[in-house]
Amino acid sequence: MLSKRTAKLAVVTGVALLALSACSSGGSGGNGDGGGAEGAIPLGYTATLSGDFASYGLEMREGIDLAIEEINADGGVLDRDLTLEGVDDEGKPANGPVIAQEFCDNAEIPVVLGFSFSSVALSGLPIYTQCGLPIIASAVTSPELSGASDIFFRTVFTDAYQGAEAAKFISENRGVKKVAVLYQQDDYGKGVADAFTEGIEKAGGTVTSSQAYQLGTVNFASTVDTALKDDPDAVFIGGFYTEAGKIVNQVRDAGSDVPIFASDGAASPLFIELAGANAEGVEVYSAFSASDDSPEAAAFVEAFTKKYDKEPSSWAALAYDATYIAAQAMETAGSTDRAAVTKAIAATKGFPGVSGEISFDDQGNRVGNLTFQRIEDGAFVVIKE
Amino acid sequence: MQEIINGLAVGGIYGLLAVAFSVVYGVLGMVNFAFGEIFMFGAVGALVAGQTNILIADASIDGPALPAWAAIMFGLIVGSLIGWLIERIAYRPLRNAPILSMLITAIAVSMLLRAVATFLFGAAQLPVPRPELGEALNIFGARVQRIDVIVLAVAVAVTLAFWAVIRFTPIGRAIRATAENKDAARLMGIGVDRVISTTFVLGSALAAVAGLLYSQRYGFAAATMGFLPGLKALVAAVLGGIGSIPGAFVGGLVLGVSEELAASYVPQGSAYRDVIAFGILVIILWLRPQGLLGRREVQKV
Repeated sequence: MLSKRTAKLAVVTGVALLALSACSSGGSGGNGDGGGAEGAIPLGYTATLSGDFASYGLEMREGIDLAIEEINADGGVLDRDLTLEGVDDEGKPANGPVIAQEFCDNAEIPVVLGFSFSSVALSGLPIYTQCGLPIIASAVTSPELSGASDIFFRTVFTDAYQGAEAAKFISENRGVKKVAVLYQQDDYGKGVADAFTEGIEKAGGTVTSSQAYQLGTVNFASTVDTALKDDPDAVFIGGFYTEAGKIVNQVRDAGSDVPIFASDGAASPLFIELAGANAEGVEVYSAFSASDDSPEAAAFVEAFTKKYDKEPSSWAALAYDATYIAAQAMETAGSTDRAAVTKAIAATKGFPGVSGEISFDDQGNRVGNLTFQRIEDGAFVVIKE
Repeated sequence: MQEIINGLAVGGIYGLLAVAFSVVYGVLGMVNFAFGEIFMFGAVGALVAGQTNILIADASIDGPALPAWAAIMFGLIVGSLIGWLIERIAYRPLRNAPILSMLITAIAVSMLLRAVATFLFGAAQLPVPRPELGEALNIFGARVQRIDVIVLAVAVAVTLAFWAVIRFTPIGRAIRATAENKDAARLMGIGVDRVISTTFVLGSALAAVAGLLYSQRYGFAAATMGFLPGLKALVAAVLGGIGSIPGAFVGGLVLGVSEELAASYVPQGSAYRDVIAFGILVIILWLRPQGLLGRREVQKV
């Protein structure tokens, strides 16, 4: 769900950056005695770490730092410690190739993590492909990256995959036949809604109406009337919590108690705040939920909260998983040889990540289960069915 | 029918804000873009005043937790005060400057206020508890939300009261005289600066009321909430005939309703409602350049 438009939060101060880099170098460089003879293995990390869109990169970094700390404490990889070579791409596609060349030239680096923007990943991809350096990205969702290169993998689900999975869940687990779709007029909303519509139709259902809306719309009265006119079994919203909250309120204002489902853009505590009592019973999905009580997720949330004194975001969880997959791939390959590591990553099957089981399809896209959640008593509760 | 009802409440809010634009334009001949932000400060002010715990610039402090009526008064006072301040600090020194300087200053003030609000209250939308009023009413087969009735009634009442002030009170007469001819008004012993100040305070109060209604109706307040309604209200004011109070209000209603009609009757209209609504307005202005209820301006030589 990450496009430039998404990122609206987090003004990052230089202080925060300094603090972060200081703490990461202290964490990874400090305990050299755990490593083996050859010294530490540097992992490449590039993302947008400054400016308005820095929050995703910084959250990924938190997940990666935690994973590296744990792996090193546990004896490292191939008896060597892991360290992180972080480079800020400033969100500029022009920086993609420059950073790619830098990582490629450092023969020590076996794998690259991170990426905040699809555009930056795309611009650097030819160079990574040329030197055979594998990437495990955790926030870029553009369909253009699907199968774009043999060395590209991502732990984040694409918008299309999410839409299709949501359609499957709603038609199979909820028995919904007729759905009214409302979606945000941009790459994210349209990507989700198109795949969702296709999925519903494939399952034998119908989409009674499909309406787009602009970000920032507040009055949905007539839009909601159109959606409810055909008496649908459910309403699906592909968009952010800001508009989803208002749609939910206005559907209930219209006197309808139709079940409502929403995409991961609404899987935010702010959605519950905006929709209040009307949020009850709404079902959403996301790649990761901090309220998931699977042993992996629970242990991660505990460790993360202890280290950073806050709940982990999806981005932190997906980057944490990417780091572990990289470590496992190096162990499987038995070396830090780029080609061998790439092969091992591609062969990842059912890896027990904190965001659920992780496998990659032949396009490098994440395959696995979304975490579906229902809002009960003002909190997200993970649905287990 | 249903669409018209769906659009009337938000139209009333646009209308109220449009009256603020209209009256300041009448007096100063300039567009005070900052009304969108005063709209926002009215809503955010009332929200904050009603809370027991406020997050300001990421610091948590105890809120005054005023009762609802007092919180609303607080929002109004904050909005009016900001209106008075910006006129005093930003616009008065430019009284004899070219109109473009004032326009640019107005844009700067608007951006500054938005940045201040983002700094103080963050960029996220803050939830505003929506009043519990019960089920929608059914009037001749159309569904009418109770809150819409209240919003529209308040908007009409406030506009009428404002119109009465302008029409029948001494200060109203002074405002009209200033709008007519500033120099002549000054020669007749009217304190033009004081009149302009008063106009800003009254206009800002209207904008703040509009913001309050908006946040109650849609259940949120945010630093950026005033931008789009401000733009639409400005268009509504032009549509109704800028300078005319009933015109501005009617312009707001027409805009609110045409948005809903566009969303409902045009294929994929919900995505392009603004484009369609603004298109309609362009056509109306083409047919009636002076606006719906405006007078044709005669340029005296």
